[in-house]
Amino acid sequence: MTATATIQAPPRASYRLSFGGLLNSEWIKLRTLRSTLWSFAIMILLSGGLGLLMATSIDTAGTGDFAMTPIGVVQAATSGSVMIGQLIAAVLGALIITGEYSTGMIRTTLTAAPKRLGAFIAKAVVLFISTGIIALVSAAASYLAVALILMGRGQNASLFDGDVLPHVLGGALYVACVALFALGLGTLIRSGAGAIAGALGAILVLPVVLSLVPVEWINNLRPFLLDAAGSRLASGMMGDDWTFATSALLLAGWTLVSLILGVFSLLKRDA
Amino acid sequence: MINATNLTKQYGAKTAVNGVTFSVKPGMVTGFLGPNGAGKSTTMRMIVGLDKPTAGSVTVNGKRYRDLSAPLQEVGVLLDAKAVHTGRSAFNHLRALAATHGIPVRRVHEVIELTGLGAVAHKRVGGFSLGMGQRLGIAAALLGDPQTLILDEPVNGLDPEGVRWVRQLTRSLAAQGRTVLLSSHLMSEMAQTADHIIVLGKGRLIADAPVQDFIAGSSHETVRVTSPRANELAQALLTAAGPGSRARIDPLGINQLQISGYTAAGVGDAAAELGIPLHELTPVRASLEEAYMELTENDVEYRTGGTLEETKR
Repeated sequence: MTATATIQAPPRASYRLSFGGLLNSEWIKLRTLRSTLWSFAIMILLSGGLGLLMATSIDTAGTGDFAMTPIGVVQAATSGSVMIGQLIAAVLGALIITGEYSTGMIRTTLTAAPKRLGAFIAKAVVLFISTGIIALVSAAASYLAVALILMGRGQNASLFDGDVLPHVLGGALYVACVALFALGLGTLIRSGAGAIAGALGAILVLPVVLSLVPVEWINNLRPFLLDAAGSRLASGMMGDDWTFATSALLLAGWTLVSLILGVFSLLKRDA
Repeated sequence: MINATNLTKQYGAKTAVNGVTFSVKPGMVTGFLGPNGAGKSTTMRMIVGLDKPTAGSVTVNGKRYRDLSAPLQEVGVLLDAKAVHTGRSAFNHLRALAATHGIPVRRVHEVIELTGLGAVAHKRVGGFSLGMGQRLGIAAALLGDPQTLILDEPVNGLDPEGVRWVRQLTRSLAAQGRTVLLSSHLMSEMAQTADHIIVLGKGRLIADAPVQDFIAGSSHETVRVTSPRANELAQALLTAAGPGSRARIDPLGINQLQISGYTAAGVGDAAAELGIPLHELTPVRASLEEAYMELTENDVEYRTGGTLEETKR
């Protein structure tokens, strides 16, 4: 810094706050944090590893109790990548906003976009698309791992067999929505630990609790939980009465409620 | 131009800012003073829409901050607390901020050069020293080439060269006709930088005047005296003033006194009457610091001295 430096005198350039600019900004913010990149890398690696593990340990040739068809292994591996993906997406979605609160970055974000809603929507869009794409890549990694092992045994399994592809797409949609669900909670709670606990609690703990309570109508709520919607979309399990559309609607409901609570808090409270 | 009207902010039962009305005019540097907890930072946060006023309003160039179409170009702000994600590099932080308004990357490089961050621009902000963090905050404030600049404690943690740079920068921006609102606890620095002073105390406006008037309004004028019979003179002056007077005499050095509560003429007359020779007799105007301390004496919320207590007004 030199003592004589001053900033340019007018005429000045003309800048403008825009939603496109906010999208671009959030995209830069997402990919310039190591924690995001690590989360995505781990998601893909674990999914590939899971596929490898399943394909090598599962008997795909025999007819015994533990034997599976090749396509069955592909389905198990790709839905397994959703199980992994949902956990990482929950952490990522929570941290992407609570990290801004804990570091003070939120004040920079909100002075640049004082109406707030635009910045939040931009953040949600960037998070949803990137997490969805990484979830698809993760499923592809686990599929490839399985396909490679099977190929070594002279077997093959296609992504286009049976219900595999719809479930891969459904699973990725679920994982991306879990990230948004955690984003909403994080915006509401503003604490990383609290938001992660809340999101993982909704996915992992709530189902167990509901099943354990010895009251029938509470047990009957089980299929309406967030993770149940995910299971149906990613693997077709849990719920013969549900279609792809109704499960997706349920998923959207959970996600929107969380996002709306988050937006309400963001607009009403001081930053 | 910043206009605050009856601006009020309550946090629960505590009133941080209480019915404050002021305007910050373009073309000059306005110093924003007040003890810790006086409401300066809260006021600045309300100006840029981070905190919502409980009552009253504040506008920048006639509009509420949230209604500005290009907030970063209208107002550049450095807040007291850090406002940067520690995991991101300075360059990426500025680039993301610039992107919101379509500000080109060329401008990001410009402010990095301007604030002397070139060497650390690609290092993560988490490892920055206090001074480097301040420079980054100032870079962010300048990014949109704003018409109005709001800087909360900008020289906090800066080296002497940086302090001087901020002084020259703010003065030159004001000279270009821009509005500059600056808070600092360094009174000597403020005296050199500001044209106008606004003082808050316990959330209320207690002064709003040009620096010269502000200092002139202080009763804290002293007289410096040098005499070979300084002790004798001091005794005589104190006796003449009598108990309960405002007269106060402090030794400055060998045979030198600093006297308050007397005019230079008063001291000279008293010395002549006693036949005491004077080698120096100088009226000393109050400094900004003295004027400020006198004004805020009763408005200090957190007083040094062991206990944390609300002082009585």
